[in-house]
Amino acid sequence: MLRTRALRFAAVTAAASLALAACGGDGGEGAGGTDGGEGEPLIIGAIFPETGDLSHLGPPQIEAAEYAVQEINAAGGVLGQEIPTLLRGDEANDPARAGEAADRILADGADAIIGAASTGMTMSFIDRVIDAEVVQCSGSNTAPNLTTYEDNGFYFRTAPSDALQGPVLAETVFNDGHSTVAIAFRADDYGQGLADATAAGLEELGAEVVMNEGYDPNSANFDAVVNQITNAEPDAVVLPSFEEGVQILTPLLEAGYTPDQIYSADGMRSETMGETVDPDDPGVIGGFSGTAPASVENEEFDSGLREFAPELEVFQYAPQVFDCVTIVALAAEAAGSTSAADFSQEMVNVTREGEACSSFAECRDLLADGTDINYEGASGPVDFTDAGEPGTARIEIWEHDDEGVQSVVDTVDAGPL
Amino acid sequence: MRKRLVTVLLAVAAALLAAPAALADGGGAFQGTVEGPGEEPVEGVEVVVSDGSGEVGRDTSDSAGEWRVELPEPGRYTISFQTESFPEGLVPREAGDEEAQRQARGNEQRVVFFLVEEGQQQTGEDAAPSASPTGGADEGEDEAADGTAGEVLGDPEQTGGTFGQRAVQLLVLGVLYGLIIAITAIGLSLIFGTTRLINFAHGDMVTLGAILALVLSAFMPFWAAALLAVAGGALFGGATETFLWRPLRRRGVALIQMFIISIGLSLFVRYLINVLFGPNRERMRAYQLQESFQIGPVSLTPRDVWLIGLSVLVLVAVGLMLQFTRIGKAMRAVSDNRDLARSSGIDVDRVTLVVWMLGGALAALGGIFYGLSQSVHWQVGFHLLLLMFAAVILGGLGTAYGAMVGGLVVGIVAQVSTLWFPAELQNAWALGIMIIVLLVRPQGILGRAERVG
Repeated sequence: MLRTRALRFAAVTAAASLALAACGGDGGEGAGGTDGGEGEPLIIGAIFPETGDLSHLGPPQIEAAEYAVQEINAAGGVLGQEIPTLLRGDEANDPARAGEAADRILADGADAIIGAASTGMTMSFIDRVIDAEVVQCSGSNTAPNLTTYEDNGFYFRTAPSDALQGPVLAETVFNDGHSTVAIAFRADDYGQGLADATAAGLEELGAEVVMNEGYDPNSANFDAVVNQITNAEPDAVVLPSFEEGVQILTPLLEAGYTPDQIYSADGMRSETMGETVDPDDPGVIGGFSGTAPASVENEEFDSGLREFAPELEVFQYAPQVFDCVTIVALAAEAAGSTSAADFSQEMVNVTREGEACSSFAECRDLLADGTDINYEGASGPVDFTDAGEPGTARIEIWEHDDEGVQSVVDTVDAGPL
Repeated sequence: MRKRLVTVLLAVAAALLAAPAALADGGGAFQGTVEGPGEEPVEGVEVVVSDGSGEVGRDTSDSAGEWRVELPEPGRYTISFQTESFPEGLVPREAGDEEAQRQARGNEQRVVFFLVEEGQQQTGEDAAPSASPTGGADEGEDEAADGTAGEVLGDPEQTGGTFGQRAVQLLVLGVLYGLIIAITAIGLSLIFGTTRLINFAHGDMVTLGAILALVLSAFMPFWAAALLAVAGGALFGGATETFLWRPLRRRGVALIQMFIISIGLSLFVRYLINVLFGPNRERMRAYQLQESFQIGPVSLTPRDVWLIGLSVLVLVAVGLMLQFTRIGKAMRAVSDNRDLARSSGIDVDRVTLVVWMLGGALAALGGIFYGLSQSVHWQVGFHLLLLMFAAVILGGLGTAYGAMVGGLVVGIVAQVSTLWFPAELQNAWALGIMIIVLLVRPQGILGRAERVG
């Protein structure tokens, strides 16, 4: 890993400086990277949460997509043409608005759509994207039901299915010595998928799942959910929630549970969770832990993205989105076409079996030599399965310490099932 | 020597720490316990761990029922508990349990194996779901986990509950929820009563109050911040009346247009708050994380008790005001018949202004109470709005008392319904009750039947 990262960094820097130099000249070299160049440019749309319950996950994904486009354009663009400015849409955690955004971006002639961030929003427009024969790639959809969704080969994701995260979450809870577990999940594709995968994992380990129930994430009052949990008398509680989970976490603490009995996952992972629970004493959630697909643990990518977007505070799913954009661009290079019907066939191929490469420029040069490539992404090896998603995943286990500060305490590889 | 020390440390650490124990070198380890029918450790059970190519390690459970096998690398392993080493008369809890496939991920993995009396064994099928009647074996499992975790768990006496105890607890939670809805809904109802306007922006007045209190409490004691926030709510209500609704009424804008304008105002205020305050949920800065205490079957935090008390006080005060003060009587008069009130010499515009200010203040107060009991975010009021409408219509449109009763019914039904139905459906039941009541009593619980046409 380290070696490829160093290579990638070197390649990216080299490519970037070359491209900059070229721009300083007449731009003659910038368009001369590979053959082609006469066809249409690759048009990419991006649908991310700019408002709504998941809007804290929006900025890292938006910046990562923009960053990827900048890197690709700096390396000479796709098939010799620069990728135009991203067509942006807001998923707003609202199916109607996400659908509108998709319609608009499809009408503007996108060849690929990056997003949406939440599985529910992806579900609200995935059929239109498939019908329009446009490639969709999400960096953060994790619901297991997307694996088998009939997508005619147009839907991809770089985030691992919760079928991989669930068992790791189950083991984390079980390894801590908890044997009776209650799960209260937000009733949507994400919550349900992760909850079921976790429950199955727990039962396989021999733990008892005393409750596995959904709640309405838009509910104005969570007292009843908390009451259901405390009545089930579990010795650990798992909350596959988004931010609203704090309204279950806090009353559980008041009911006498300690934070080390409470677990969650990527949806509720937040550096500032401690301040949210108690602004005066963030340490009250010391021990609260959970899992998440490993996010930025990648120095080069991290510093590159920080430089690109200095004001960014959260990095969750940024590498996955970066990989989505890069894989789309590489697939177009491999297919020699920016038409989604053509390059969708190459999406899986460029991620596995071949010579490893880790940046757009490096991979593109290999492709130009006729070599089969294996893109090693910013988020990990990627290696798509035939279903167009990672077959293995690196899952990190995070925990808040007694100061309330969150850190990664362990990283494990999950996978093939 | 080192290994034994590590083993002991890990056995303790794995049980005590929330974090998985430190990574062992290489492939990690399986670390397990063998438990008998009465939750007691079983000694002398032989465990063999093997991968595809053969055995990688074996151990025998010690007097604490514990065993441990180090693994060469992450991967999939088979753990076999040797049947001939089981104590006389004991069999695995489930047929086939003696051979388990486990994924090793380079860390410390806990493995628990249960033995039960012969005849207590379950076949694979009926044991699979958690709901299976596992009886004694599972009890043992719970106890054992409690013991090893070394934690004081959710205090069973406090949380455990028969159906009756749960019902009482949920009833009290429902009352708390209902009182808060009632406080916010009174304004909505009075405003409708005096101006016939369905104020869609009422929810965002609730949000405004909660957020004002949260922001101001950074600079002053919470009670002062709350008072200022309530004043701010009144000011906002008064301002919208003075600068928006009154001019619109003067120009003769029809009600349906005003209704749409209120939706616009609602969206504007909501997204303005989103931009200024951010999209995250926050908790109020005061009265947080209090320890619950027990009154009979009910477990409440002191905060909840105060909220219930203050809410009742506010509702009684509003009731007295409407019943006995001059302005209260005038409000009811305008609400009954605007034209008749005007012709009998009541300054209708002034009364309307007071109603808006009162509505704004109560909405803000409801928002603060809600923020204390739940959390503060930019959509607080929006999520409450439908329930407020339900409360107002259920209780009888335009009457303040109706809004109080309606709010209580909505809150209680929403909470108590979770005794039988999933929590996801709690609001559906509250709104369902509204439909049923309206079918029987179209004017609402306290509404007065009106002749139409």
